[in-house]
Amino acid sequence: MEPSADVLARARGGDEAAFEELMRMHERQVLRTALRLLGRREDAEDAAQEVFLRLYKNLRGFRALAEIRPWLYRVTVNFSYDLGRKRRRFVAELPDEVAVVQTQESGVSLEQRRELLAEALAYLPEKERAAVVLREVEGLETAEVAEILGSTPVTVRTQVSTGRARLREIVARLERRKV
Amino acid sequence: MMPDDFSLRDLAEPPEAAYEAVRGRVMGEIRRQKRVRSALRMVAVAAACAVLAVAGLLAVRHEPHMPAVPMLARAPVPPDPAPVEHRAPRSRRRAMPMFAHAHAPAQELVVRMQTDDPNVVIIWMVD
Repeated sequence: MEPSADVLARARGGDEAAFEELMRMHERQVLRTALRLLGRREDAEDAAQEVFLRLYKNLRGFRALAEIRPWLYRVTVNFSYDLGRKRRRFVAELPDEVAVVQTQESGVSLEQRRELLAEALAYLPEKERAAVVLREVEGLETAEVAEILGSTPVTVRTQVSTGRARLREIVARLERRKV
Repeated sequence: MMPDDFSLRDLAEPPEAAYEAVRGRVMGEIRRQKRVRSALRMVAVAAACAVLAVAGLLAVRHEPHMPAVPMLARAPVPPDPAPVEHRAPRSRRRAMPMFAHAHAPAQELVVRMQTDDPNVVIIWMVD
């Protein structure tokens, strides 16, 4: 038997160490998803905290460990939507192309590209962003993403495709601003 | 640059400190909520005890006094009765001054209840 097999039962029984173990098992998916959706580490930590507190309150509703993962994705996405709207961080306006920031280098480094791409995600509409993050960043199947977002696989495919196209455009625009 | 130049999965991971911070905040909040729930439970128990104590005191205070029955005539003393079979004495309850404490000066009842948190002590004072 896996050491974590009974972790859910122990956590449901009020064992704090078991709940902490549950958190460790899922913290990467929650914090990473929240960070991609919200763009700021402080916001992502707030979202992750709230998501895990909700998990703690709803522990009795789970019968198997496998039920937790999709539930956490769903709650993370929904809470990130709420937090983003509350803090007005969703759907930022694209920067003005005239406001050029000159850099010493002629091109952009890999690190800068990562930053640009992370920044570009913030300009996607929230549903497209969630579909892209879950499908492309988290690597979930289209059907899983559809279930988490309460959508259909066809809609998710469209959102991912549109989102990627939009990302290309946004990244190119951000890159022109930097170079 | 196109997003396809590298996988979106290569985006920077949150630092380890971020995970630790979240874990610490969540566990701290869970422990705080447990303490609050425990204190609330104690308050509820103390409140129930206080309500029962007050209800008991009020019930005793409102009990009507039995008027003393005047003795009108002394009943004739009957002749010595025939000796009766000796029976085991029945336990007799000692006469208790039922309403004596109702007239005593009101005393303050103080209930001190310890909670799990040494900083939280619930004190109930009932007049």
